[in-house]
Amino acid sequence: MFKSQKFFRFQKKSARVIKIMKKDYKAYLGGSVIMLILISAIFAPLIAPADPYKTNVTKRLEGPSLQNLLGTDSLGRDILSRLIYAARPAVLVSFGGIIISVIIGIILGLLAAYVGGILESIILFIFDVIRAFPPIILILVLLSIIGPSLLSVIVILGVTIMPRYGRVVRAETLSEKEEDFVEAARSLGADNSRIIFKHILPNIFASVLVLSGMDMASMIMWEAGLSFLGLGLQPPLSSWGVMLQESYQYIQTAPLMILWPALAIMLTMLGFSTFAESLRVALNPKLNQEV
Amino acid sequence: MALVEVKNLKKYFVNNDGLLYKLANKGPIKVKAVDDVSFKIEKEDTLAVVGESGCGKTTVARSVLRLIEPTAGEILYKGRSINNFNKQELKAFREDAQMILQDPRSSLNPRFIVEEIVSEPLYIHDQIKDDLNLLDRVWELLDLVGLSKRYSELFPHELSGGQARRVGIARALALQPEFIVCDEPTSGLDISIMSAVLNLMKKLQQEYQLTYLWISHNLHEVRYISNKVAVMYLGKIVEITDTDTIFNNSVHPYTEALFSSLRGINDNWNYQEHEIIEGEVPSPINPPAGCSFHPRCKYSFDKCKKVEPELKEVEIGHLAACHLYN
Amino acid sequence: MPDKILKINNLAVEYRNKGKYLRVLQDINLELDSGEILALVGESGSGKSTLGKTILRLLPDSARIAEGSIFFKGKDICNLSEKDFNDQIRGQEMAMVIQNPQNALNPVFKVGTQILDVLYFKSKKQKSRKELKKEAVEILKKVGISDPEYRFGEYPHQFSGGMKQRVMLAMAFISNPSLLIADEPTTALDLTVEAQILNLLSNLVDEYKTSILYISHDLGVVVGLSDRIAVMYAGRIVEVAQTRELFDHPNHPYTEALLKCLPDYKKTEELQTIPGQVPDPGNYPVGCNFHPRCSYSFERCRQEDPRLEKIASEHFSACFLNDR
Repeated sequence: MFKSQKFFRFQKKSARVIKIMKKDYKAYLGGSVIMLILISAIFAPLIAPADPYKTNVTKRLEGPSLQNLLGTDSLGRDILSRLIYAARPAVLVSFGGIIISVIIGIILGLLAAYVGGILESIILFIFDVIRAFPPIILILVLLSIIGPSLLSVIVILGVTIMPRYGRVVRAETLSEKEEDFVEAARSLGADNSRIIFKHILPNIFASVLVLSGMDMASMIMWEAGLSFLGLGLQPPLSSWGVMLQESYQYIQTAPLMILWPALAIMLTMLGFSTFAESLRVALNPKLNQEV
Repeated sequence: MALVEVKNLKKYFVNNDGLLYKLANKGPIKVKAVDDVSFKIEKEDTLAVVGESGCGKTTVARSVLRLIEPTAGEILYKGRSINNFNKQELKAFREDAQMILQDPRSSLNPRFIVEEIVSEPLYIHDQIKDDLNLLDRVWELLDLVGLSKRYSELFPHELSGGQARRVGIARALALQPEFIVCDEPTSGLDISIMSAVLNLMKKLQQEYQLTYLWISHNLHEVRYISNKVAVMYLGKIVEITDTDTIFNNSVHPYTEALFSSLRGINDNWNYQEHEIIEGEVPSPINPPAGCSFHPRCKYSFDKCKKVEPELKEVEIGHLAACHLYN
Repeated sequence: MPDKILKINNLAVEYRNKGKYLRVLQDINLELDSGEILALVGESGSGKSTLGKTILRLLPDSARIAEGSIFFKGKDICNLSEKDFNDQIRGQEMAMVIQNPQNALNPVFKVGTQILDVLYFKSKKQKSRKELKKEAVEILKKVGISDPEYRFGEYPHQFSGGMKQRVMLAMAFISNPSLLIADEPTTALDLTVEAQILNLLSNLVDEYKTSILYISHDLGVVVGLSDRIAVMYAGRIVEVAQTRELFDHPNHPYTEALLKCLPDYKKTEELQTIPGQVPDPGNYPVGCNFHPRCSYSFERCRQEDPRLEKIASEHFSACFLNDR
């Protein structure tokens, strides 16, 4: 039963998606950036040229040199190594936060659209409450309850942006539900789970994908902000946000220092959103006619 | 015993949403989409339901398959009420009764290839014994509707309207149903494709002893495909009989108007001297009292404005709802 | 030839697609007398709507006229500047009624206001809108809208589809155009309403002596409306004839096949079908465009393009069978 027709079909469809993405420069661009970040995150100790925590007060705020390719920071630590190590929290926060919010958002959005009634009102009320607070206040309150740590930052960020996904999923589900092909599936005797997983979710996934590509970057920014307030990563652990905040004080004496974490964040954002865009196009049969 | 019997079907859509609306205290808006409709379909018959937009013909079609729950009334399939079916019974019914939706392309999931679309009913009803032979079954079904094997790998947007329509028919046939509800299956198709679809449906009916409930507004097509016709106006059946009778000896003024305006390409006529019925179909939110056709009817008299006519037998097998005849 | 309102010579239209030009209309030759209703029929993809748009110069930027000329009242309108065309011809001498009346009226303005706008521009902004109101109500009455004074102040969503199409007709006839291009104006309407609108259209044509190019896919409608019919297939006109003549003695195999496909309440024999399918625009076969689906096709059909030839008085057909 393993190599069934379903399996062949899946193979064919994914081969098609890969074939389309192979022709798309966006897929390469985004994919290579994501690979770069993932590799730095996983193999940080192997790649980093120096110990990111080793301070050297005699070499404070130096510019790029052969020894320190990107220069040193206020405590004389190697910026490149710190940047590489900082990919770890970036990946954890952005992926973790997005996955949490996408999963909760899809579940709540589908429930609201599908069950309706009181449940829908309650779910929408929860969304509204979360969105009504300025996110920073909400995060601060929640963090002070749970206590600062990387995990709590991930969970809280995920919950905070979740209503975006919930609302999108609910709205799209409501409109997909009325589509003719859903009615056709119903008249064939398909049960709700088949309709949701086979017909509705694949058709609304594109919107979620694009949204999450954009949110990845803002997750990193949020983490930076929280770390600055001392609620995210605790020193001496580094993250791009922490580095950004540190360099900020020295913008006049060592202007290059702020450039590196900013570039890293920008590149990540670009990588994620271009890859998401490319994937969205490849997954939609209507958008890629010629294969 | 009739295959399908609809007894006093009523479907009202009620809208009382919105705070402002409740404050205005107008009471709910009630749209009587289908109001007391009864008919029978014998096995291997084709009952065509004709009428203008808003007459409730699509609502009847969907109610018959229990895609919407009726407000009142009963639908019997092989003598059993489908409204009381439990989950298993309903699933068995869905295996027996299929639907072909109006829009050929939007009734196909845009992310499915034809193979998935046509095999979906087989998956739903666990009719796949040997998964590897699935493709053979799909090809067989495609062949039945006149599509070659290569179509099985295409997406709906790569099909023409006529091909998409055939895929929809292949899907409806996959479970070897007895009863198919066809909701304007030829609307929006070009003439040459429409005739091909009509011929196909007729051929399939003979080959597989199918029974059709055929929703349409094209009277020429109805003449060709059906042997019984029900004419609907504002949620009610005004006349129902067999096709020959309705084309030659219709009695209800609305049917008369509808069919007298019918001209074919072989007639010598033009729109300038053409007999037309004045006015448009009134809103079903606020239908006229009495007979709902009376404001447009040239024979209307006092009683028509007050009393609603009942559907009564004019002659054997010929029912009409008009005061002129009882 | 003062009587010819419209004269199209050897027109060819191309669309740009991925840097290549695809020919969607080819060898179009058509004449329209004043006060005549010419129906342009064909299946989807035959190019009939493109032809209508070409005459009104409403083609998108990606399209161009590759060959030929269009003479309107003896004037070559292909060479007119866009500004002159808009000022002198479009909306004045030529008007259009489109398929979907739901989208043709602006939903945020009252119907009356929209009619007044047309009248206001027609009067070259000389008369005030107040003076024009009586005229506007008169027009609404003429197109058969009951209680026009009251209806004047209503919004488009309060009008039914049939009434909207009446308003569109009213607006088209305000400037008393010489040519009206009607692109399937009744497709979205009910049977009885369709008959009403076409009855109205016939009467308006009689009154205003307007020529109409009626684009449709519905032969059953055209038979009761038009004086002449031009049948299009895959970007070409394959047959032109008087309406009755075309239905009684179709010459081109495509027309013949189409008529045999059409379900008709008087017909009980089995419907015929045309094998194969309409070729994609711009991807036409070599030779006669219909030859792959034609049961009479022979060697010559696969090699040469047939041209419209006169086969009887006022009956033209593009088929090599007539040469044999």
